Amino acid sequence: MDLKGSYEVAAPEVVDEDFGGEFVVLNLRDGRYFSLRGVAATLWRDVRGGYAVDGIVAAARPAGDDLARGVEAFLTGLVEAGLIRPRTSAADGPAATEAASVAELLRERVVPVFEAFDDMAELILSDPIHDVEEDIGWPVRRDAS
Amino acid sequence: MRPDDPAAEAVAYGRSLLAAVAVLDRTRLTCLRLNSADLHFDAFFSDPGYAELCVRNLALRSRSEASPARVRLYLLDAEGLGWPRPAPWFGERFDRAQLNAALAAAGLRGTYLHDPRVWQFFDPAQGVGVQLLRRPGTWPAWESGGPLRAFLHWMHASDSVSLCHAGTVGVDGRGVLLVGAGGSGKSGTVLAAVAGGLDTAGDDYCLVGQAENAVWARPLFRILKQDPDGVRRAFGGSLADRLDPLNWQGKHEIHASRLPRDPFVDSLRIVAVVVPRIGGGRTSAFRPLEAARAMRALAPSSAFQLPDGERQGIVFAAALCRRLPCYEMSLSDNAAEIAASLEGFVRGMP
Repeated sequence: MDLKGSYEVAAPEVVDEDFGGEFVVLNLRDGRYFSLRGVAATLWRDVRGGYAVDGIVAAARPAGDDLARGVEAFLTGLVEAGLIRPRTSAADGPAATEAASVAELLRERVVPVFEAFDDMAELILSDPIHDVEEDIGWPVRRDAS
Repeated sequence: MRPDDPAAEAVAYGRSLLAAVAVLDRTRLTCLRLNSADLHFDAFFSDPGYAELCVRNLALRSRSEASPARVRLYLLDAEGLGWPRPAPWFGERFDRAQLNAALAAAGLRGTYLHDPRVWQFFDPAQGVGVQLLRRPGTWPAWESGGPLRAFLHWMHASDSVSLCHAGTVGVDGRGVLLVGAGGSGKSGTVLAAVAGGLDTAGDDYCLVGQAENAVWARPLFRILKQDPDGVRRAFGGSLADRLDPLNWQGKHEIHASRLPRDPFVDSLRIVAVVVPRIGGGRTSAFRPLEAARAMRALAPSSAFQLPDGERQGIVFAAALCRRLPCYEMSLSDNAAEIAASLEGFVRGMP
C-alpha cells in the first residue's frame, strides 16, 4: 500500500477513546475493536493530529529499516482495518520530524503493534436474514455445519 | 425511495405503524400504567399474556394515578388486531448500520428481528413506540428474561443515563458494576453474591446513571439467569430442582420471587467497575485494572448488543471507566467465599 500524506480517523464509523497510555478504537461497521498502547498510541495521536504518515515513516528510518518497515506495516494495518483514511482537506499537516511518535520511535526503537478483538464482530456481521437459527433468532448465528 | 432501498422501506413501514397506532381503538387493548426507574409510561397490549409477562419480569415502581406518561408503547400482534402480518425484511440482506442511519435521518429508532419477524419502532419526539408480532406469544426467545429491552434502551437514553450490559452487586446501598462479555462470569458472580445475602440491581442489564457526584445503577428486570451448575454452586440443589425449565440459552430464568430473599434493590451507588475472571482456587482476589481494559470489557458488549446507539454507548462507557476505580476480580471456586470477598471489597471502598 502506498501511504502518502495525512490521514484521519474514519468517523463516524470509527470511535476512539483516549485513556492516556492506551487508545481503545472501535469500528462500528464491523464490530471489531482495537487496543493501541505505548508507541502505537502515540502514533495514533499523531495521525489524528494530521502528521503526514509517509513523513513519520521517513523520519523514523534513521532508527533502522526494520523499524521503518514496522511503522509502515502498522499504519497500513490501520488503513486495512478501516480505522483511518486519507484526510479530505488538502491543508499540509505539521512537519513529521516534530511528531512525538518519531521521537519515541527513535528513542525506544520498538515496532508499534495493535491488538485486535473480534468477539463482537460476529454479532455485527451476522446477516439475520440468512445466518441465524430459525428457532432461536438473531443474534445467534447459524451453526456453520 | 429507491426500489432497492430496504432501509427506506423500513422507515416508511415504521411510519405507517406509528400512524396506525395513533388511531387505534384502545378499548380493545390491555392498558398498564408503568414506572421503570421513575420513567412513567403507558403500555397497551393486544395480548393480555404479554402484559402479564411484562408486569412479572420488569422491575417496576408504583405510579400514582395523577402522574402523566412520558411515553406510550403499543405492543401488538397482527392476528389479535386483524392486521396484515408483519412485513418481512424488504431486501436480500439486512444492514444494521444502514437501517439505523435511515431511521436516525427520519427521527426514529427501531429494529427488525428476523426469525420471530418482529418490528420495533420508537419515535422519541412524540414519545410513542410500537412493536408488531405475528400472533400472541411470538415474542423473541429472550424476551421473558428482559422484556421491552430495546424500548427501555430508547426511552431511558440520555447523555447521563444508559442501559449497560453489566451485573451489579451491593450492600447497604453501595455496590459495584460487574462487566465483561457473555460467559465472563457476571451472572454467576451475581448469583453467588445474592446467595450470600448481597443485593443486586440485575445480573445482565441495568440502568446506569452518571450524576455529577455519583454513579448509580437501577434495576430494569426482576430476573437472574444462570445455568443449572451455577445455581447449584450458589444455592445447592434445593433451588435448582424447583426452577422452571431451561431457556433458549440453557439457563434457568430465576424470578426474584423464587429466591429465598428478594435481592433486588431500587438503586445502588456504584463505587467501582469490576471485571470478573474465572480464577479457581480457594480465595478470590482483586487487583487494580487500567481503565482502558475495563472499557474494553464493558463498551463493546454494551454497545453492540443493543440495536443502536453504539457511539453514545461507547462514550458513556469510557466516561464511566475513567471516573470510577477499576479492578479485576479473580474468582474462587467457592460461592460463599465470592460473596464474602465482594462484601468486604464494597465495604472497604471509599
